[in-house]
Amino acid sequence: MFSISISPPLLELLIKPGATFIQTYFITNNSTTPINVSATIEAWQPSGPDGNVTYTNVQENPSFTFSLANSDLSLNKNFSLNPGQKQQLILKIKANQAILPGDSYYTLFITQASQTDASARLGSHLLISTSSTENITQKAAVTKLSISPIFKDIFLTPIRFDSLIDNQSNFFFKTQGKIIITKDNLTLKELELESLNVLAHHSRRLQCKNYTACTYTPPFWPGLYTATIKLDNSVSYTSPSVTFFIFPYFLTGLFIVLTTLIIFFAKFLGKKTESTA
Amino acid sequence: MKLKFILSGAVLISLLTFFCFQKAKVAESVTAMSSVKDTLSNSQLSFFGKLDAGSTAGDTIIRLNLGTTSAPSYTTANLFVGDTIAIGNTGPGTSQPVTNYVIEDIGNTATILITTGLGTSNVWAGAPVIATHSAVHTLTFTPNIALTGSKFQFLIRATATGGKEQDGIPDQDGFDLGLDIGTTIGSGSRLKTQDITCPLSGTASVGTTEIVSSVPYHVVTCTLAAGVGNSASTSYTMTIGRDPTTGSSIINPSPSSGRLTAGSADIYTFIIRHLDSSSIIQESTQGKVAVVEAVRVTATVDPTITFSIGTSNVGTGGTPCGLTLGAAAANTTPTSVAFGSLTIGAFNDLAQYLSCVTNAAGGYVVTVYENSQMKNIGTATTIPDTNCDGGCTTDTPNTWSTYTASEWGYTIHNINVGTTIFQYNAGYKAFGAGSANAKQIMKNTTVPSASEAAYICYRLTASTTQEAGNYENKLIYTATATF
Repeated sequence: MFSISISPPLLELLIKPGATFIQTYFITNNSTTPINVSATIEAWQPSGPDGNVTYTNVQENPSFTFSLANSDLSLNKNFSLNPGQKQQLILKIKANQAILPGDSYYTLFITQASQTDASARLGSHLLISTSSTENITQKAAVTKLSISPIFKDIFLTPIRFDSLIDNQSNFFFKTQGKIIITKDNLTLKELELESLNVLAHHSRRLQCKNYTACTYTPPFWPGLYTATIKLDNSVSYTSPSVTFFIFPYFLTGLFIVLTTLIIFFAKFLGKKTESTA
Repeated sequence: MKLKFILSGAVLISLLTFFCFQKAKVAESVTAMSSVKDTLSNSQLSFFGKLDAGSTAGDTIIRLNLGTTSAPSYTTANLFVGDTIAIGNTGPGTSQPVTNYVIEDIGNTATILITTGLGTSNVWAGAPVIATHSAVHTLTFTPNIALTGSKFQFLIRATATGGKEQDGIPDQDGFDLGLDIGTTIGSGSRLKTQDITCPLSGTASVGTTEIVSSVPYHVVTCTLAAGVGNSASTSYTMTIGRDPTTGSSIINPSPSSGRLTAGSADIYTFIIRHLDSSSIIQESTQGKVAVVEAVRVTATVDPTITFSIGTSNVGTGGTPCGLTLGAAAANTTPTSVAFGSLTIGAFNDLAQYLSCVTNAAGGYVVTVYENSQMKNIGTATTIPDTNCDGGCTTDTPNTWSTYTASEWGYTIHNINVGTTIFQYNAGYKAFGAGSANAKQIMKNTTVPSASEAAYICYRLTASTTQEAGNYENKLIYTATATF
C-alpha cells in the first residue's frame, strides 16, 4: 500500500508587498515501505465554475519566491520518508515589494519520485491575495439566475435555483449570503448559500448549505413570487431579481379531465336513454 | 463660656444623630442566620482593557494594550468568540458613549478579530474595551428569628470610587449596579426592583450604598408586608437579577488591582441581614463570593488530505469492475502494474485500489493522466489509446468488447465515492496524455464521511501484428482538496 497525507490541504492568505509568510506543512508516509518524494510548487488557474483547476499554460507570478526553510530540504529535491514518518515542511513565501495587488494561485505538490508505472502526487492549494491594506475591494455580479422546472406546480416538484457568481475584482471572496424568496413583499423562505471561494475574474456556481442544490420545496400557495440573491459580506455586487409564477397545474388539469369525462358520460348516457325510449 | 459649651454639645449631638441616621440601627445582640449562600449564575470576571495605539478606521483586527498597569484586563484571556465588546467613543458626532462589536476570533494574547470594521470614533489609543459579565444572585438563608413585617437585606461590595458604583462600567473593587438607560432590559442596564424576587411576596427596593466597617456596599432590601411574618428555621430564597434578555443583573467586577496571576479568584464579601419592622438589625451573616476568569478551551482538528494506492481485491481471482483477474494480477503493486506477456487476441485486465479522504470543506478530486502513449522502449512503437468499440474518448465511456486491435484504456468501479464520474458498466475510456489532459476519476464536493475508494481497472489488448518488445508508460494520479 502506498499512502501519503498532507496537512493543511488548503491555505488562504492575504500578504503585504515585501512581506514574507511562513507556513508549516506536515507530510505523513502512511505506507508500509519507505518512499521517495519531492516538494514542488505549480501555478494554476480555475477551470470552469465548479471548482476545477488547470495547470496548463499558466504563467507564474515572478514576484513570488517560494523556498523551504528546512535546513536539510529544498524544493524540487528528493527526500525519503520512512513508514509512518511525519515530516514537517516549512514553506517560505516571499512577495516582492513591487508586486501588484491581486491574487495568485499555487499548489504545493508532494510528488512520489518513482520510475515505475503508477505514481502519485498529493497537493495543497495556496490562494494568495497581495494587498497593502486589509480592506480590499471586491466586486461581483450574479448572473444566469435560472429557475426550474418551467411549470411550477403548487404540489408536485421542488423549485430549483441555479446561478453563477462572477468575480469582477482582483481578489477572491467567499459566497456568504442567501437566496430570499418573497411573495407580496413578504419573505417566505431564505436558502442559505454554502461558503465557496470565487476566484479573481472567474465564476463559481452557487450552492446551498451542505453543498446541495438550492431548492424550495412544496407545497406552495399559487401566485407570483420573487427570488433575489443577497450576499452578506463586504463584496459590492449586482444581483438581479427573478419572478416566477406558481399555479395548480396538476389540479387544474385533473379538474378539466374529470369535467370532460363527466360531460362525456352524461351526454353518452343521455343519448342511450333517448334511444331506449 | 457656658454658651460655648452648650453650642459644642449641640454640634456633637447633631453629628451623632446624623451618623446614626446613616447606619442601620443594630440590636444589642445580633445573631447569625444559618445556611447562608449566594449562588452566582455566572462567576466570570468582567473584561476591561484598553486599545493599543495604531488602530485605523475599518480595521477588523484590533490590538489590546498589553501593559500590565494599563487596564484591569491586559490580555485577551477571559474574552471568547461571540462575546460583545463595547469600545469607547470619542470625537464629534458620537451620541453614545460606546460602540458595540462582536468578537469573531481571538488571535493571540493581544489581538482580536471583530466582525465589523472599527469606527472612526473608536480609533484612539487607550479607548476602553469592555465586556461586562453579569450574574443573577440566588440567595438562600435560614433566619433563626421569626419576625413580622421584617426586612431581608442583601449587601454586596461596591467600588470605593465615588460616583462609579452604578455607571455600567465594571469596577476593579466591587460589583456595579449598571447604568440607568431608561430600560431595565439588557446587559449593563441598571438593576431595578422588577429584577428582584423577594421571599414571602415582599416588596423589593434597591438603595444607595451603605458603609459597613469602612467598606461600601450596594443594598437590596425585601420588605415584608405588615402582618406578614417569616418562620424561624425555615429556608428562604431571594433572587437578585434577571437574564439580560428579560431584565438586568449586577455586573461582576473586572480583575482587581494588585492581582497576582490570572486564574486566581477575586474574593468579595456579601452580607445578608434580617431587620425588624423598626429597621433594627436582628440577624446578620457574612459570606464570600469568588469571581474568576472563565477558562477558554480550544482544540484544533488539522485539515488533512490522504491519498492511497493499494492492492486490495486486485490480486489473482480479484473481482473489480465485474471481472475476474488472472494470474498476472499477482504481480500488481501500489506502484507497478505488470501485465507480463500479453495474451494476443484477448483482453488483458489488471486493477489497482485507490482511496482518498479529507476533512477539508469542499471535498477533494483525484485525476489521472498518462505521461505518454504506451510505447516500446526499444523502438518507440506505440499501443494506441483505446476508442473501445468506437466512440469512447478521454471524456466519454463506451463498451469495449472487441480485441482484434491493439489498444490501452481503463474503467472505474466506484465503491463508495461521493460523486460518480462514471461506472464500469458504462464502458471504458482512454487515458488523457499529459497533465493538460488529466481527467477526474474520483470526486466528492462535500466532506466525506469516511475514506472513499474505487478500483481503477486497466485493459490492454495486442493484435497479432503488434511489434514484439517491452512496452511501458506511466500514470500520474493527482489528489487535491477542492478550493
